Amino acid sequence: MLEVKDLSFSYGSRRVLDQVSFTACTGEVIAVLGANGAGKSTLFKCILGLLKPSSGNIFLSGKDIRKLTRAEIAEKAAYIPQTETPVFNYTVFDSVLMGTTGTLSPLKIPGEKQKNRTAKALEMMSISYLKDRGINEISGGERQLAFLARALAQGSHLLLMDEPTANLDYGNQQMVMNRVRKLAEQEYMILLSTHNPEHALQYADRVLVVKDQRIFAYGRTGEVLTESLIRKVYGIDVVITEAEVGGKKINSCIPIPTPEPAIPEAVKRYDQGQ
Amino acid sequence: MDDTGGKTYKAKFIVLILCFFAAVLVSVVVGRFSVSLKDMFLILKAFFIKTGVPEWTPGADNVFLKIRLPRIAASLLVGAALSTAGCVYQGMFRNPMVSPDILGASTGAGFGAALAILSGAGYFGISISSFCFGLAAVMLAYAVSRLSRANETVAMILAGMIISSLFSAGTSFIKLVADTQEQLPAITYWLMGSLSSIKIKDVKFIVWPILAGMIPLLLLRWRLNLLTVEEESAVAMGINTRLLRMIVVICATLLTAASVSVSGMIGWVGLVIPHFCRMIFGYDYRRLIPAAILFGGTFLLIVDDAARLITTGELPLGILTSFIGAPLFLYLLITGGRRHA
Repeated sequence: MLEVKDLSFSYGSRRVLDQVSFTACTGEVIAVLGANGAGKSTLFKCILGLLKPSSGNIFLSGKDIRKLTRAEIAEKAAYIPQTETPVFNYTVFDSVLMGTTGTLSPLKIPGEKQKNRTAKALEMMSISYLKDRGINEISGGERQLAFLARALAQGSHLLLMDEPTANLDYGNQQMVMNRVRKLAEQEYMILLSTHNPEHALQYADRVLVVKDQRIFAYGRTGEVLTESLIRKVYGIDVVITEAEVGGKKINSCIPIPTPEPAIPEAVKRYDQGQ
Repeated sequence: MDDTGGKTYKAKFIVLILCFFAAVLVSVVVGRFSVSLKDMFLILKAFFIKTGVPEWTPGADNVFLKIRLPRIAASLLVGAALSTAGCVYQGMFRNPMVSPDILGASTGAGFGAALAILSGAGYFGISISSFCFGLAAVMLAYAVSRLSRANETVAMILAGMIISSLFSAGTSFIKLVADTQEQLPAITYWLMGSLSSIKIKDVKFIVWPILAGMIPLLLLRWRLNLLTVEEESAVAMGINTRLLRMIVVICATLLTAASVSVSGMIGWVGLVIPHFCRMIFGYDYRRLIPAAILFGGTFLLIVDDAARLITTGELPLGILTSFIGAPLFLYLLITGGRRHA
């Protein structure tokens, strides 16, 4: 369970989050939507304790994170970065094993217990067969699953994913999102930021929209994520359609082509030589 | 060790350890005054059990105990120290092209040595001055980096460059004002790097800082892996990365400054050896640190033997490591793209 209460954050004098409050429960996928620079990453970093809020509180399983140590926060919340290519080509197993380090005393070397946790995490992500491969030699989607496994090995049940599907090809995007969906069914809570409303529509239980430093909308995906909301947040017209596949309803979001491409004001001014 | 690779790595370590001992034995024997293994055995026996009658070739005990042994010990220590320092810095800066002098330890030490030579300090005074200035340079660079608001590792690299260039300017200035008959050649020769005038005293001087730098890194070897992970991810995993980085900087600086203070500038070891270790032992610091210690020590010992033997005089070690290191690195550069799984 995650509770964010009146959270404000500023970089210097620039306010990024202003009195943000929401609660989230385990077993759910929550998609965090918002334009670039809306404060999605800042919100994640505050929850992870990487940034200190100017005011407000964050509670992880009822505990104020300001009263928790780094390692204790790590036990409750894990971070899955955008798929990066690591400089050093560790094996997948070792990369995932690194997730167990937080709970280990500083001079200890991972033992059987940590290795078992790693093996289990790999199994949960169905990538045990990759364990001896180099982390740089697998596909971007597989690497994202390895990072997810690393978060699972860390032992936390709240997973914060920063644009997990950025830089992935179409097939890998769906594959990763499917695995995320499955994790929610195993009592994990997943907060993921995304620029793709489709992913929110298809995989998220709830949608959290950040706009103008505040929470613009928060609620069940079907109720919140509407055509008018997308127009307000991104300034584009879309139509949300419903398809039925095998008795299951799937929502999809289609942008409406405008006769004249919308050119941002700044570009117009530039073109006019002002 | 992970489940599958454990056995093959064990075999590789055994080979490396055998090479290490073989190199030590060969180094005892070779040289202008040859010490046979039998002599070595007799001398060691006498040294430890104090038997009365010397049965070895006359003079062999002096050569072995006063010249060869200190030199072998120094090569092993310096080689191990430099390659370990390079190994941890490459991980910490997430850049395989980093060498141990990135934060200015070597240039600081070089300046310290030049200053000591200029002020007419004795042989041992040069080592001490060099060691102190090496430490001071890194402390300065670290302090400067903390003033910057940039990303911590980037700030460190930039601060290291600033401090290095300041100290190398200082060294140039000292060379300019030094007396050209005695001091200037001494400074130049010192900077080229050599172990030819190593004495037992030097070994006793560097062994402590090198152990003090090596042991924490050996103990923290698993945790060092976490420094190669993106900063924010590592912190989110519950790691105090700032503290860990500080420990690494302190240890690597002790290692580098101690090495340079007795050997002068020896390039390439700290850059190339970690690459070879990764090629053979993988990326995991649990294996990488012990491998770097053994491999670095063995490598420098062999190169130093070459420095003793190639010409009738002494070749500066720094020149040789560059001659050997550069082609080796070229080889790595060409084959590096291939995966060695």
